[in-house]
Amino acid sequence: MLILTRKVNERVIIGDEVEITVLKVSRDKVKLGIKAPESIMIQRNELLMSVGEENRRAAGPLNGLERLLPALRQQLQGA
Amino acid sequence: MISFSKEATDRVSVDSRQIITFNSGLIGLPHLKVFALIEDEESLPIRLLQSVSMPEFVFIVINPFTIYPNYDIEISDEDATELGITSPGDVLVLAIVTVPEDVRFVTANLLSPIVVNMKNKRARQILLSDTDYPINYRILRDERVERRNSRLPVAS
Repeated sequence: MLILTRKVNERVIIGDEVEITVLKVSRDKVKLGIKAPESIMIQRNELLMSVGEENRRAAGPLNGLERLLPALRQQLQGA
Repeated sequence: MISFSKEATDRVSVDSRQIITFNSGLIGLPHLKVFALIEDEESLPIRLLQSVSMPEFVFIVINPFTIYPNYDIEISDEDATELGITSPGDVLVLAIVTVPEDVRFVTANLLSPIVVNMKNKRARQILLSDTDYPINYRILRDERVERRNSRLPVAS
């Protein structure tokens, strides 16, 4: 891993198109400004991790489906 | 009615299976790219998504608009381009369902739905930004809670 030390308002450039600016540093938080083309996905890591976890949980066995279907159908018809 | 045990998915007629491809896989499961979308009129709005390379990976998916009437998603230009979407009418949106031990607490992931371009069968699990749709939206209403609430005196 490349490790760089930056001060507030200093930047890091990645490739030709991505620019990251350190905007603010407080006790245990860093505020970053990121300039990048729209085609580059920028996400908070923990959000992606939690979606990945949810996907893995969802990939389990289908045991519940027989019970889910009738209950769901009843609810949708009642709505 | 077809019961969706794992064995039963193999018996679903071929014409209700459509192969769809996720170029970047599912989030957190990037190796799962090609799926059979299994549809049976009896069980709509639920469909199954079964991995072709690893058939033990079967997802229950649901049309999110049927469980969350005001559900509203915006597909970014980048995603639309990636999927080759030219008309909103070609798009199928699916939410992945998680079934816990106790089926009453079944949830759907409204935060990162699957978007399928039914014209070319390309799909992507997108992550909605600037929304607060839950990752674990409870699908079934809790009847006990509702019954209790309906007995509460109405504030005048």
